[in-house]
Amino acid sequence: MLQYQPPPLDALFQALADPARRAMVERLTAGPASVSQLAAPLPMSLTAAAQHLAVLEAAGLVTSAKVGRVRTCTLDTAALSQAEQWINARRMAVGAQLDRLGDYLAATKPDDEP
Amino acid sequence: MTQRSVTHATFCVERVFDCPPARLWRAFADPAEKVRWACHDQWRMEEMTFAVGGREVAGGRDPGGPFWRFDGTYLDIAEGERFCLAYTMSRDDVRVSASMITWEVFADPAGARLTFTDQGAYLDGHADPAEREAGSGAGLDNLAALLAAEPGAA
Repeated sequence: MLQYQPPPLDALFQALADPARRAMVERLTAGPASVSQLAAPLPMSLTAAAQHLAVLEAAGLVTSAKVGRVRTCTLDTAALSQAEQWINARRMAVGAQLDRLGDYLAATKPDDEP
Repeated sequence: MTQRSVTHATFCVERVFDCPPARLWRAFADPAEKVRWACHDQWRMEEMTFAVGGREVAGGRDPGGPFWRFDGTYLDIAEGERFCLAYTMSRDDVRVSASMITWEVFADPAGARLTFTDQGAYLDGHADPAEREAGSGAGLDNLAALLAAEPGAA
Protein backbone atom coordinates (compact mmCIF):
# COMPACT_ATOMS: atom_id res chain seq x y z
CA MET A 1 0.00 0.00 0.00
CA LEU A 2 1.34 3.38 -0.96
CA GLN A 3 1.86 5.80 1.87
CA TYR A 4 2.78 9.43 1.82
CA GLN A 5 6.52 9.76 2.38
CA PRO A 6 7.75 13.19 3.41
CA PRO A 7 10.72 14.38 1.38
CA PRO A 8 14.00 13.52 3.09
CA LEU A 9 15.30 16.35 5.24
CA ASP A 10 18.68 16.24 3.50
CA ALA A 11 17.10 17.22 0.20
CA LEU A 12 15.04 19.89 1.94
CA PHE A 13 18.05 21.47 3.62
CA GLN A 14 20.16 21.20 0.49
CA ALA A 15 17.43 22.87 -1.52
CA LEU A 16 17.27 25.72 0.98
CA ALA A 17 21.02 26.12 1.30
CA ASP A 18 21.08 28.36 -1.78
CA PRO A 19 20.10 32.03 -1.39
CA ALA A 20 18.40 32.17 -4.79
CA ARG A 21 16.24 29.19 -3.92
CA ARG A 22 15.40 30.68 -0.53
CA ALA A 23 14.36 33.88 -2.31
CA MET A 24 12.05 31.80 -4.48
CA VAL A 25 10.53 30.06 -1.48
CA GLU A 26 10.03 33.38 0.25
CA ARG A 27 8.28 34.72 -2.83
CA LEU A 28 6.06 31.64 -2.97
CA THR A 29 4.93 32.09 0.64
CA ALA A 30 2.96 35.05 -0.72
CA GLY A 31 1.19 32.84 -3.26
CA PRO A 32 1.74 30.93 -6.52
CA ALA A 33 3.95 32.55 -9.16
CA SER A 34 5.12 31.85 -12.68
CA VAL A 35 8.70 30.83 -13.42
CA SER A 36 9.44 34.20 -14.99
CA GLN A 37 7.96 36.03 -11.99
CA LEU A 38 10.23 34.01 -9.73
CA ALA A 39 13.26 34.62 -11.92
CA ALA A 40 12.69 38.36 -12.43
CA PRO A 41 14.22 39.67 -9.18
CA LEU A 42 17.17 37.27 -9.37
CA PRO A 43 20.45 38.01 -11.16
CA MET A 44 20.28 34.96 -13.41
CA SER A 45 18.87 33.66 -16.64
CA LEU A 46 15.45 32.08 -16.92
CA THR A 47 17.17 28.77 -17.62
CA ALA A 48 19.23 28.99 -14.44
CA ALA A 49 16.11 29.91 -12.47
CA ALA A 50 14.30 26.90 -13.90
CA GLN A 51 17.17 24.68 -12.74
CA HIS A 52 16.88 26.07 -9.22
CA LEU A 53 13.15 25.43 -9.32
CA ALA A 54 13.81 21.84 -10.34
CA VAL A 55 15.87 21.39 -7.16
CA LEU A 56 13.04 22.82 -5.07
CA GLU A 57 10.59 20.50 -6.81
CA ALA A 58 12.81 17.47 -6.26
CA ALA A 59 12.96 18.34 -2.56
CA GLY A 60 9.18 18.40 -2.45
CA LEU A 61 9.04 22.08 -1.52
CA VAL A 62 7.47 23.31 -4.73
CA THR A 63 5.00 21.87 -7.18
CA SER A 64 4.40 23.29 -10.63
CA ALA A 65 1.79 22.93 -13.33
CA LYS A 66 1.78 24.23 -16.88
CA VAL A 67 -1.33 26.03 -18.03
CA GLY A 68 -1.07 27.11 -21.64
CA ARG A 69 2.39 28.62 -22.01
CA VAL A 70 2.82 29.55 -18.37
CA ARG A 71 4.27 27.25 -15.72
CA THR A 72 2.91 28.21 -12.31
CA CYS A 73 4.74 27.23 -9.14
CA THR A 74 3.19 26.68 -5.73
CA LEU A 75 4.77 26.11 -2.33
CA ASP A 76 3.95 22.62 -1.09
CA THR A 77 3.25 23.10 2.59
CA ALA A 78 2.98 19.32 3.08
CA ALA A 79 6.77 19.26 2.89
CA LEU A 80 6.79 20.87 6.29
CA SER A 81 6.69 18.27 8.99
CA GLN A 82 4.61 18.81 12.07
CA ALA A 83 7.78 19.47 14.04
CA GLU A 84 8.88 22.14 11.59
CA GLN A 85 5.48 23.78 11.81
CA TRP A 86 5.68 23.71 15.57
CA ILE A 87 9.20 25.16 15.57
CA ASN A 88 8.04 27.80 13.16
CA ALA A 89 5.17 28.69 15.46
CA ARG A 90 7.65 28.99 18.34
CA ARG A 91 9.88 31.15 16.18
CA MET A 92 6.97 33.43 15.42
CA ALA A 93 6.05 33.59 19.10
CA VAL A 94 9.61 34.66 19.94
CA GLY A 95 9.48 37.27 17.18
CA ALA A 96 6.21 38.65 18.53
CA GLN A 97 7.70 38.72 22.02
CA LEU A 98 10.72 40.66 20.77
CA ASP A 99 8.39 43.09 19.01
CA ARG A 100 6.78 43.75 22.38
CA LEU A 101 10.23 44.06 23.99
CA GLY A 102 11.19 46.65 21.38
CA ASP A 103 7.99 48.60 22.06
CA TYR A 104 8.63 48.39 25.78
CA LEU A 105 12.23 49.59 25.48
CA ALA A 106 11.12 52.47 23.28
CA ALA A 107 8.34 53.41 25.70
CA THR A 108 10.65 53.38 28.72
CA LYS A 109 13.51 55.23 27.07
CA PRO A 110 14.74 58.11 29.24
CA ASP A 111 13.99 61.55 27.75
CA ASP A 112 17.65 62.59 27.89
CA GLU A 113 18.68 59.80 25.51
CA PRO A 114 18.81 60.64 21.82
CA MET B 1 -2.08 5.63 22.19
CA THR B 2 1.05 7.69 21.85
CA GLN B 3 3.50 7.11 19.04
CA ARG B 4 6.86 7.98 20.60
CA SER B 5 9.19 10.14 18.55
CA VAL B 6 11.73 12.92 18.96
CA THR B 7 12.77 15.54 16.46
CA HIS B 8 15.77 17.70 17.32
CA ALA B 9 16.04 21.16 15.91
CA THR B 10 17.76 24.45 16.56
CA PHE B 11 16.53 27.86 15.58
CA CYS B 12 17.88 31.34 16.06
CA VAL B 13 16.45 34.81 16.18
CA GLU B 14 18.52 37.98 16.22
CA ARG B 15 17.34 41.50 16.87
CA VAL B 16 19.02 44.87 17.36
CA PHE B 17 17.46 47.31 19.81
CA ASP B 18 18.02 51.02 20.06
CA CYS B 19 19.19 51.06 23.67
CA PRO B 20 22.34 50.37 25.69
CA PRO B 21 23.12 46.67 26.29
CA ALA B 22 22.69 47.16 30.04
CA ARG B 23 19.16 48.45 29.48
CA LEU B 24 18.31 45.41 27.38
CA TRP B 25 19.74 43.11 30.02
CA ARG B 26 17.57 44.67 32.73
CA ALA B 27 14.45 43.93 30.67
CA PHE B 28 15.26 40.22 31.03
CA ALA B 29 16.78 40.12 34.50
CA ASP B 30 14.25 42.16 36.45
CA PRO B 31 10.99 40.20 36.84
CA ALA B 32 9.02 43.43 37.26
CA GLU B 33 10.33 44.58 33.89
CA LYS B 34 10.01 41.25 32.16
CA VAL B 35 6.31 40.80 32.88
CA ARG B 36 5.67 44.17 31.29
CA TRP B 37 6.79 43.00 27.86
CA ALA B 38 6.86 39.20 27.94
CA CYS B 39 3.31 38.84 29.19
CA HIS B 40 -0.03 39.85 27.78
CA ASP B 41 -3.71 39.10 28.31
CA GLN B 42 -3.30 35.48 27.27
CA TRP B 43 0.13 34.88 28.76
CA ARG B 44 0.88 35.28 32.46
CA MET B 45 4.04 34.86 34.52
CA GLU B 46 3.47 32.53 37.45
CA GLU B 47 6.98 32.49 38.89
CA MET B 48 10.31 34.04 38.02
CA THR B 49 13.57 33.86 39.94
CA PHE B 50 16.42 35.17 37.83
CA ALA B 51 19.26 33.19 39.41
CA VAL B 52 21.13 30.00 38.53
CA GLY B 53 18.75 27.23 39.54
CA GLY B 54 15.82 29.64 39.69
CA ARG B 55 12.61 28.94 37.83
CA GLU B 56 10.54 30.77 35.31
CA VAL B 57 7.01 29.47 34.88
CA ALA B 58 4.47 31.10 32.63
CA GLY B 59 1.33 29.98 30.93
CA GLY B 60 -1.71 30.95 29.01
CA ARG B 61 -4.62 29.78 26.97
CA ASP B 62 -5.27 30.54 23.35
CA PRO B 63 -8.85 31.82 23.08
CA GLY B 64 -10.94 28.65 23.07
CA GLY B 65 -7.79 26.56 22.72
CA PRO B 66 -5.43 24.51 24.83
CA PHE B 67 -3.56 25.74 27.89
CA TRP B 68 0.16 26.20 27.25
CA ARG B 69 2.75 26.18 30.00
CA PHE B 70 6.40 27.20 29.83
CA ASP B 71 8.36 25.69 32.72
CA GLY B 72 12.00 26.73 32.78
CA THR B 73 15.08 26.70 34.98
CA TYR B 74 17.99 29.09 34.63
CA LEU B 75 21.13 27.03 34.06
CA ASP B 76 23.72 29.75 33.62
CA ILE B 77 23.88 33.50 33.97
CA ALA B 78 26.85 35.62 32.87
CA GLU B 79 25.74 39.01 34.17
CA GLY B 80 24.99 41.46 31.41
CA GLU B 81 26.08 39.12 28.65
CA ARG B 82 24.36 35.74 28.49
CA PHE B 83 21.99 33.33 30.15
CA CYS B 84 20.83 29.78 29.46
CA LEU B 85 17.38 28.54 30.31
CA ALA B 86 16.23 24.91 30.04
CA TYR B 87 12.48 24.54 29.66
CA THR B 88 9.62 22.31 28.75
CA MET B 89 6.54 23.42 26.89
CA SER B 90 3.30 21.64 27.69
CA ARG B 91 -0.06 21.68 26.02
CA ASP B 92 -2.89 20.80 28.41
CA ASP B 93 -0.31 19.15 30.70
CA VAL B 94 1.25 17.06 27.92
CA ARG B 95 4.89 17.94 27.32
CA VAL B 96 5.44 18.70 23.65
CA SER B 97 9.07 19.84 23.82
CA ALA B 98 12.13 19.97 26.05
CA SER B 99 14.63 22.64 25.04
CA MET B 100 17.37 24.99 26.01
CA ILE B 101 17.41 28.67 25.16
CA THR B 102 20.57 30.76 25.13
CA TRP B 103 20.06 34.51 25.18
CA GLU B 104 23.09 36.67 24.42
CA VAL B 105 23.44 40.43 24.56
CA PHE B 106 26.14 42.24 22.58
CA ALA B 107 27.10 45.85 22.11
CA ASP B 108 26.18 47.01 18.61
CA PRO B 109 26.82 50.25 16.71
CA ALA B 110 23.03 50.71 16.65
CA GLY B 111 22.55 49.90 20.33
CA ALA B 112 22.26 46.37 21.65
CA ARG B 113 22.15 43.13 19.70
CA LEU B 114 20.21 40.22 21.10
CA THR B 115 20.51 36.65 19.91
CA PHE B 116 18.12 33.88 20.83
CA THR B 117 19.10 30.27 20.17
CA ASP B 118 16.65 27.48 20.91
CA GLN B 119 17.94 23.89 20.86
CA GLY B 120 14.98 21.64 21.20
CA ALA B 121 13.75 18.08 21.38
CA TYR B 122 10.23 18.03 19.96
CA LEU B 123 8.35 15.14 21.45
CA ASP B 124 5.91 12.61 20.06
CA GLY B 125 4.94 14.29 16.83
CA HIS B 126 2.29 16.81 17.84
CA ALA B 127 0.23 15.79 14.83
CA ASP B 128 -2.57 17.86 16.13
CA PRO B 129 -4.76 20.52 14.54
CA ALA B 130 -3.73 23.08 17.14
CA GLU B 131 -0.15 23.12 15.88
CA ARG B 132 -1.20 22.97 12.32
CA GLU B 133 -3.23 26.07 12.90
CA ALA B 134 -0.46 27.79 14.84
CA GLY B 135 2.13 26.90 12.22
CA SER B 136 0.09 27.77 9.18
CA GLY B 137 -0.46 30.98 7.29
CA ALA B 138 2.04 33.66 8.08
CA GLY B 139 4.21 31.06 9.76
CA LEU B 140 5.43 30.02 6.36
CA ASP B 141 7.03 33.40 5.93
CA ASN B 142 9.82 32.24 8.14
CA LEU B 143 10.25 28.84 6.57
CA ALA B 144 13.42 29.56 4.69
CA ALA B 145 14.95 31.50 7.53
CA LEU B 146 14.01 28.75 9.93
CA LEU B 147 15.68 26.01 7.99
CA ALA B 148 18.65 28.08 6.92
CA ALA B 149 19.29 29.83 10.21
CA GLU B 150 22.64 29.22 11.77
CA PRO B 151 24.22 30.81 14.80
CA GLY B 152 26.21 33.81 13.68
CA ALA B 153 24.34 34.21 10.41
CA ALA B 154 23.14 37.69 9.48
